[in-house]
Amino acid sequence: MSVGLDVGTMNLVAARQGDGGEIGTKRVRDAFLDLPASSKKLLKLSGADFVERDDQLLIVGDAAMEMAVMFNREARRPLQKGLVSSQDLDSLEIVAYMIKSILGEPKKAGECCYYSIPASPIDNADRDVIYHKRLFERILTDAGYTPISGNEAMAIIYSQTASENFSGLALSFGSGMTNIALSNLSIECLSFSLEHGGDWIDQGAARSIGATASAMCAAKEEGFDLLSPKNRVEEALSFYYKELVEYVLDNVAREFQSRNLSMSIRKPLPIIISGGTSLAGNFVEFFAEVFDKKADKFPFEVSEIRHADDPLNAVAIGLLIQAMQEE
Amino acid sequence: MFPNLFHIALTEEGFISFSVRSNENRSDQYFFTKEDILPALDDDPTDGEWSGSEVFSMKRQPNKGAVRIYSQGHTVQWLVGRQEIEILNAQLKALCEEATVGLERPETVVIHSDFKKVTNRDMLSSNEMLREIRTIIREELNKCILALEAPSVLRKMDEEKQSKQKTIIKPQETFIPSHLADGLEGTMSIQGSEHKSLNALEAAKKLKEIKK
Repeated sequence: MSVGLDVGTMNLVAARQGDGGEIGTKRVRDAFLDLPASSKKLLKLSGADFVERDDQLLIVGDAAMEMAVMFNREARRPLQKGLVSSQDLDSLEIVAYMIKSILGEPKKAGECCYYSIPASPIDNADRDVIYHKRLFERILTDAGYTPISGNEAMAIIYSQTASENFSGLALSFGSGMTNIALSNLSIECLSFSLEHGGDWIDQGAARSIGATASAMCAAKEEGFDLLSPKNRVEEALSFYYKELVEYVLDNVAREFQSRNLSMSIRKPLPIIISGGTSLAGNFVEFFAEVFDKKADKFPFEVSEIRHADDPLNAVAIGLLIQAMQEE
Repeated sequence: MFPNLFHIALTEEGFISFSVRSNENRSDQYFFTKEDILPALDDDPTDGEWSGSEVFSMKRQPNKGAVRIYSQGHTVQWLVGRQEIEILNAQLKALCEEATVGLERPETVVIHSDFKKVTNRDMLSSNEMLREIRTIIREELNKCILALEAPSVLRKMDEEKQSKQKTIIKPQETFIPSHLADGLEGTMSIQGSEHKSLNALEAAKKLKEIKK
């Protein structure tokens, strides 16, 4: 028995295999809102779920985003650009609580839990991936699990490319970061992350039209078609989506060439797109259009560009596959 | 001469033979036990630390890697690409599964020289020919010494010696608080879904096969 845990800036997702072989996933929004104790009555009347800590009330998960609008506040996010901060102890406690809630008790003592960590960001060498990794190791150990870390983008390779013998380029467009891994026959040839993701799109689009990042995020999540933006907000979002895709492709090409990998990739490989930021309408088609303009300079041949089966759960399921193959 | 920087194989005695190509015409062959190699495998690529035993250690970093060998009183280090280190890690992992446990490592290093590159032996002067013959004899003698040493090292190490084997322990760099979620009580909504397909199970089986 084992479990996979995707620790994302926007969502925490746990995947576990049931007795009948089916895979069950549990997801919670990685956000919270702190309210004064005096709000308890109001929350009880509205039937909202909340958590109590000392003299504070905390609304945790998806409800935090909804309540933030009601109280005219910004929901707090424990992870920033893919990583936790050691300075924000409040956030660490809440993320630990959320993880315990979605994982539940271990099915046996010391049950194995594969959890995701990002690769080191190449556009910000100062970010502390080690602290992030050790913190989740501690949270999982305290919860009774045996923690094993796994690369986020490689998890997508494991869940999506079995038919290609675990070969391909996985791009995980998350909220805080974009994680990239190139795998050849399950061997990780290249992996890195970029500190640009959905939040960067929201902030850029908000700046350009004088709105808030939350408003951009809400517009994005309401659903819009990247190929045919209908108003200025959607145009601004499309513009930053294109910038992000170009930035990712340029960095993949540069890293591939700097590591001299051309001899090891001889067959065309698929590109697998995943992550919450890739849920915008027609993202894969939009990505393919940007890619086509760069295809002749791209360092290896691409067989196809496709979306992960279940972009929000692909990492957690990939981590579960890693855990299952070691049982 | 093998095509890559490293070439590894299992000897008949169960040692892991690790050859490194020093230049176009020479390779140095080292011998390790399973216990020498195992602590170096699956090094954390994010910590920038050496992992391994006193005689063999590896460092994987996001963009590159390094291999370090201690033999005959000195340390040799090779800087390699990330892919090379991943492949080496995978090959060593596979060999370790077959290597014999409890051997004692011979310190011997065998130096191989390749003279195939010399195009015309007839053109060589007698001095050059003599130098070649001396190198071949030295190489053959080294092999004989190893062959003599091998039976004596094919004995099991006792538990006391095993416990003396040191591995590099990584320092704990940052304080991490424990039992973070203990003070919190309440409820929160969790979104759940079930995936009926058995693709994950099949993928896990296939991954296991490929990794073997």
